[in-house]
Amino acid sequence: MERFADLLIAAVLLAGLYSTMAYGLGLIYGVLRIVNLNHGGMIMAGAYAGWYLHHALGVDPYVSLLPVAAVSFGVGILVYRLLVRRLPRGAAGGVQSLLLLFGVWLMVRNAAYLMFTGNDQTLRTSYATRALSVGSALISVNRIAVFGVAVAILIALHLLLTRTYVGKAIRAVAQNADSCTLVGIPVERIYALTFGLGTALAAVAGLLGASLFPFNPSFGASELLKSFVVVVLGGLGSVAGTAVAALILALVEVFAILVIPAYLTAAVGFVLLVLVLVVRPGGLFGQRVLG
Amino acid sequence: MKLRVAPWIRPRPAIGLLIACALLAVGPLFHDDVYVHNLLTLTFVGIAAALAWNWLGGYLGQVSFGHAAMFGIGGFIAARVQLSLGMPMLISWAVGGLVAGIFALIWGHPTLRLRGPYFSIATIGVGEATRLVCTYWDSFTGGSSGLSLPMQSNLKYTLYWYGLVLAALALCASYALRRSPVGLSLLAIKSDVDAASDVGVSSTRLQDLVLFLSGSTMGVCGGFYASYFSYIEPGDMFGFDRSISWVLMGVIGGIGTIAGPALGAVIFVLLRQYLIASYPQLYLGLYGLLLVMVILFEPLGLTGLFLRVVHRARPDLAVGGPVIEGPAPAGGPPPPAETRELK
Amino acid sequence: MTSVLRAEGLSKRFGGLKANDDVSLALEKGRILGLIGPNGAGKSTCFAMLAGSIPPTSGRIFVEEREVTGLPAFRVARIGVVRTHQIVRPFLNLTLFENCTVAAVQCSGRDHAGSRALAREMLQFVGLDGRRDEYPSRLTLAGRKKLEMARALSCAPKALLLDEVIAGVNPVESRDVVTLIRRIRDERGVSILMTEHVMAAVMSLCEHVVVLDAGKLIASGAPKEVVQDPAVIEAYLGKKHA
Repeated sequence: MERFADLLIAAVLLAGLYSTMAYGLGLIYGVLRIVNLNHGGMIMAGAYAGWYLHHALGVDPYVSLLPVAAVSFGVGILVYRLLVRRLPRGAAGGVQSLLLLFGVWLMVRNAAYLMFTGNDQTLRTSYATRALSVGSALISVNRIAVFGVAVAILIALHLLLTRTYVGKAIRAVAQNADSCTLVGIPVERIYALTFGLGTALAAVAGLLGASLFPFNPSFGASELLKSFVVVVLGGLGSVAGTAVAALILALVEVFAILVIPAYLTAAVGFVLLVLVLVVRPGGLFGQRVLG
Repeated sequence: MKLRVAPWIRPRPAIGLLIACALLAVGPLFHDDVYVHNLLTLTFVGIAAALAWNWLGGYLGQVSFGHAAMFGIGGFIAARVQLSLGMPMLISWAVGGLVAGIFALIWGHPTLRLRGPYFSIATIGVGEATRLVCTYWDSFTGGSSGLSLPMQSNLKYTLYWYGLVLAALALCASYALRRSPVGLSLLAIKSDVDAASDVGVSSTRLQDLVLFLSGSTMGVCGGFYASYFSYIEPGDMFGFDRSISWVLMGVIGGIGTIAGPALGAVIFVLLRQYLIASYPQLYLGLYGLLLVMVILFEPLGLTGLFLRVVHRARPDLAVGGPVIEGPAPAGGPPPPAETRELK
Repeated sequence: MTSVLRAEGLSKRFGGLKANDDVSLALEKGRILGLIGPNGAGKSTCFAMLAGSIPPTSGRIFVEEREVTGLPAFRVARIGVVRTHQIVRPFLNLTLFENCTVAAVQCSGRDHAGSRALAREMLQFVGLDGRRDEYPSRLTLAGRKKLEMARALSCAPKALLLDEVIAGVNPVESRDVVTLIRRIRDERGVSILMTEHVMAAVMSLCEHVVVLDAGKLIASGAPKEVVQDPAVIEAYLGKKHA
């Protein structure tokens, strides 16, 4: 029973990270209808950014959150302006933008190899080993902090999208970009902004994840897939939907350890993805992901 | 004596292929550079694999990032049946190919209902899941230690000619899949699968056919690879990097064209050999850059560049659809125009 | 008289929604049958079932007394019932000629050369032969609708299902399309079932009309009679106009 509670809490905390991670992918897809295959690359870049700032300059990862987010936001806008914008929008551009962003991911990966070598790295802060006891469970401070930050980010996102002009503009563009031009919404700017935001979310998720898991330049593929599972399961647009889907994924992963060896739990995410895509493309909240 | 051949086989490419094969077949008699010889062998299997990938990714437009799954399954099955059942090499390749083809059908048939990017994402999942499961599956793949085949003297050298045949067969299949009436149907499916069904194209069956051909050819390539190196391990055979390599070969060479991916394979193998020697860390990034360039500026990759330079639209290389050649019906309309705009 | 296409008691449920309820109709050889009804009446669903795009929940469909219920679309097309699409769906990566050729090769039962000849013939029939080596993106909407028809005709069908071919086309072009439809019946001997919103076309083309409302068949007969049927008027305009 205790073990059950442990696992449950672990899943909830993990879900926070997954939500943040997935939301970036979902945002870009929802607004631009593009699958950002560089998502994994940006997650990895965020991890390395946080690690480097901590390792070389002693900056606490939670402090570097803001600068990393800001810089990756800028990077996202740059990628959009220089590259993505040149592609045809819509179905015709689907596979092309996929391949384009995949190419970017390869370049980012290579850059990481050159700068940091291919070895596994971990982001260990001095307080990382401390743990809090919640009831009968012992949870690392790190996980709680990551969860806290993730929740804060999600709340901020929700507020942004519902209370601000920019947020509403983003949602409007997601629904019907053509009509938006008619009412004076600068659609191209919204696209760039959304891409930047999605990129920043990925990088931040990477930074947070760096304090929990070891990583190397090849990091990112399974994170991409997990994000995709969450997006497909949770539908697009609602933070709540993403959160629930993230929780489901985290629960499946965490409890799968009871049944299959730890080595294979990553495969669980992949199989889940394929199954969800094939069996229930409408997600849990009825939104179609099929093209 | 006149040979009865299908009307869509044009003499020029056929003769060209025969000549190239003949030259390559006798070539080794005139030099004793084993390094080049082996490099060519690897190029041949790369060509076959890239072309097989292209049937799904280019002809049908369903880009797969997980083809290493079939490559690995083919390789390990081939190795296993050689080790445990003592099967001769070629039969083991055939068995490996068959199993790989069936595997492709199993995951591919339901997944092909997804279009475009979603299919591609699913293939990443399939590829990675297969890798993890097979790495864990000791009795099949030997776990992370992999499988070793008994070394046979001179096998590596003679594999050159096997590879040549494999590559030539893949080229013929590429040509047939595109230029025969099936080719039009595949293009129609690529454009609009439901509308294709509405005009009588058995879309599901044709997609299954391409899946099986693509998967089984990959499997045979895996078996070849196992025989060539005499040692295979799952991390390498099933690796994401391996799956990526065919995407790169296909797209950079010319996705959807008949021979473009073959060109991409040649470039890839050569570049990798050169870069691994001097700049080992650079080659993936370089390919990433090439990929970006291709997508932005020349969707048909190197083949597209070649076509532009030559300034002629050769119908057998353009993506704009095949021209089904053949004798015009008596007194009927003249054959469609040779030149067409590049799509 | 054997009907070319006959539906008996067709019903379709989508979850809790009954889109079609016990619809029966028959398309006689050499006739043009109209399938009309207000928006949401279930015309598209009925149409899709007849074409094999979706399977009926219950009911049966026959092509010249051969049962085709539940057969997939490509089979139905090869047996001789081919549809066009309301929102045109040409194969954008193929030329007009290739669009028609692929249909002819798959459906018409002719050999290679014969298929190509049929494709040319159908393009000539709709007046697009001169542009046969161009790509559909170069055509106007009316042109693409004609291409749809040419492609469908290249299947050498017994019955052609036209899905709102006239709607969305300007009045001048729509006259061409109406003439074309008549010629299809008269010169090619193809029976036609058309769903349409443009009443003028329905009145002038169809010998027989069936009306759907809320998934049910509410009237069937010659256009002039059907239009005066109070049930039909009520369906389109509401109770107080009946």
